[in-house]
Amino acid sequence: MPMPLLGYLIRRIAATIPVMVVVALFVFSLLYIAPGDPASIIAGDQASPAEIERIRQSLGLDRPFLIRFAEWSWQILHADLGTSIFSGLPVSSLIAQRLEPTFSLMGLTIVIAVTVAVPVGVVAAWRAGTMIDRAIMLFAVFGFSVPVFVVGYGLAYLFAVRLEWFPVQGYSPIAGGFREWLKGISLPALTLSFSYIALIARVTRATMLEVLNQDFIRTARAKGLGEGAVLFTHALKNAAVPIVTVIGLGIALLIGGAVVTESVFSIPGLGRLTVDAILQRDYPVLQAVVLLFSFIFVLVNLAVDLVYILVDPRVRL
Amino acid sequence: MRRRDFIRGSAAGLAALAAPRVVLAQANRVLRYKPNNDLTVIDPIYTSVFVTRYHANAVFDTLYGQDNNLNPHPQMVEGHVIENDDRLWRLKLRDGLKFHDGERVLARDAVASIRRWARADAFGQALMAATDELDAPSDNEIRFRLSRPFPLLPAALGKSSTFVPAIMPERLAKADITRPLTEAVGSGPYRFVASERVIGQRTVYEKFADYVPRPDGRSEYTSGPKIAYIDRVEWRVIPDQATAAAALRKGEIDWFEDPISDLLPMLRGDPGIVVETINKLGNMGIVRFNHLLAPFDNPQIRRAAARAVSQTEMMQAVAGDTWSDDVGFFCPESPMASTAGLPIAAKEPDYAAIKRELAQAGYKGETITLLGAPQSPGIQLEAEILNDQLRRAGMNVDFVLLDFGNWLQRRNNREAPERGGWNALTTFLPGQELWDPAGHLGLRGNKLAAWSGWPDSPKLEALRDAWFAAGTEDARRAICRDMQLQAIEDVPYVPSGRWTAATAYRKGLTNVSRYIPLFYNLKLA
Repeated sequence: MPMPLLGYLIRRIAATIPVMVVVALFVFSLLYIAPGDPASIIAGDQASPAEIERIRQSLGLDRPFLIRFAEWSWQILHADLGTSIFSGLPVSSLIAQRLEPTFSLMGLTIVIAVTVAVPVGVVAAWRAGTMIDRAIMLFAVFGFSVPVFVVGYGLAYLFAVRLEWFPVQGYSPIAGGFREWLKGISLPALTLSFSYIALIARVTRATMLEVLNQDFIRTARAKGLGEGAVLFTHALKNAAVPIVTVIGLGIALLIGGAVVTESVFSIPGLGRLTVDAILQRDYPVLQAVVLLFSFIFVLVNLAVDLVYILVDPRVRL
Repeated sequence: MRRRDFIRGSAAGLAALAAPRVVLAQANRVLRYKPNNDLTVIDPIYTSVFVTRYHANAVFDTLYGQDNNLNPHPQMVEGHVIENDDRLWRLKLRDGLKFHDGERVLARDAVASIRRWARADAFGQALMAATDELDAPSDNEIRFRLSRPFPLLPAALGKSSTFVPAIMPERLAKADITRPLTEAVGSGPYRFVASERVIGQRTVYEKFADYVPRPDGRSEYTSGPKIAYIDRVEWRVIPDQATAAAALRKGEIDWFEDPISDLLPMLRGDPGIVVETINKLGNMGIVRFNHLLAPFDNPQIRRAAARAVSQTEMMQAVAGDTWSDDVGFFCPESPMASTAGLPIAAKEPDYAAIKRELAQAGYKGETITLLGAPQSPGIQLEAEILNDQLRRAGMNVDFVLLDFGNWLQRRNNREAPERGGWNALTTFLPGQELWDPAGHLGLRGNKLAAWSGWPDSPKLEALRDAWFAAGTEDARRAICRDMQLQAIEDVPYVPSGRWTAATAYRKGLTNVSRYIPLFYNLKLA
């Protein structure tokens, strides 16, 4: 690896540390001031005041903010994410169980979205103003406008209930067989990819339209290159930076969409873990998951910056 | 790769995906059950949430069990002997009982388990208050030396409602009660498979091969022979109701515990699905006032406001068509229920008269902070009707909507509303919990130690004590009648009706238990 690139990588990764510290402090403070009492939720609706107080004390929720924050920070510095208030299980195991479903869902979604959206966006720009372009843009508006859960219910009804091609719900680990894994994750990934396809297709079209009007494209055509080569070799490469940026930013959207998709298809992923932790006020789980998401987001941004170098030699570090 | 090859390959892949799954012949019978919530706490003594109770009844056995009328019968015990003017109980354990870790069930395990349970459970606390000494003189004998007769001892040790007196190994029973147990080792018909548990996805139980069913009696509810016909029970966590309904219709799950009423017509229309109400005791609606704060610290105002609570209106909003009104403080099917003093409110209350009554009682237009919780339809719908009823009675209501976590927290806040407290709320309890005074949270009058609302009623407490000591069923019924009349006077809460909910399962599932989901004695075709 060239030295400038290595130095850049080290600087960027080091820069994530203050970001993570700020996120940690923010999340901890937010949870502290937010109303809600995990002891009451654990104890259940039929608990007496004495039972609730017993649980509150056992969880250490009656201790001052600074002490709790110091203890939590110390744990984090020792790579200990703590223990779930509810299940009593280590947060690291809970997260580990959820990584594969969420990464499967997000990974397949990105593959589907990029595979479909980029060619579709290129075609829409190439055939701008025609029925093909309008049809593609109509789909894009539809993809943006329809909520994820509506798409999910629609696809599940058609492909799972009526046609019985896929299961309605659940997740099969990849270790249990690729076919079962793919069968289980396909509908959720299709659902989640809808809005993502719309986003990438629109950006691809807009960027390609700009590039297709430039002189070098006219030159390429004038020298006798086929349309495929003009579009995908010359034009798309020059339009790649905004497209890569939106793919990277879209991962944040995916995290939000994954929460809904995981609930609709009953996938035990990080999104549902987050929602359950919020509803139950399971602070250790919530703090760890938010930290993890922010870390992933920082890494994705770093990856996007690195891809810039690959797709556009004009970008220098 | 050529384009044509790619298309051919993709089509073959899709066809493979779409092909029906080859069902392998399996000797094992697997039940896939969707509970009302995920099982997060596996310690039966740590929380009152329903799913933990279902878990407890699968994994743990109890010394006594309950028949379909909730009467106690010996279960883990062979029987008992009562001596010394009803002050000495000697319980003998059945032979051959084993825990899931392979160890024998010994009397000292039972003693430690009873002690742990009694620290959390109100019935258990009443039993221990009457107990001078609890010990295990031998491996199979549990001995209670009582300071006064406690004829309900088998009922206490056989209860199936919260908290279940689960028998566990001494090493677990003696663990710190302020921390939830993270190991579930019981001696029940099903073994908890911790290694397969994925929080938010599934909980797994397997038939316990060494379980020794009771050789005599009839299999009823939690008593008699408990036979595990199903080899493996998988709880599938499906948070979305529509998805769960589709999974049931497609056969991906066998039992959907809690379909919302909107889904019932669709499920009833499916010939492969049975929709029925297994828990005829249902849920009992409750309107709770805060006795610590004005204006509901005034019993006259509580009594006047209670007359505004039309159960008919409440139940029409909450339950559609499976409800009953004119219910009192005990579950209508309980022998402890009576019609004494009923109805508390008319079906169509005279709100003008109630308004005058409130004024005479000293109500001066103080703001009533009423809590609602949209995440819980039962609580929310009742709260909306109560909001309307109190307003029609001339009360000045501030209706505050909260998420369920906040609702629970605020409910436990004794401060004034401007400091996070409250004046009125609605909730409900299972009819089984309101069977008699033993576990009846709403009828306690022990002020700050009482359930949220904190009523102070020495007379109710005295009647409850007398009920535990009463020697006959008739005497207990008479006391419960007095308790109801006293409750109408003190208004610890206002009963707002009773409703039942349906469960749905695939045809082929038989012997579905009453009251709560149980997995033993259940058969899967």
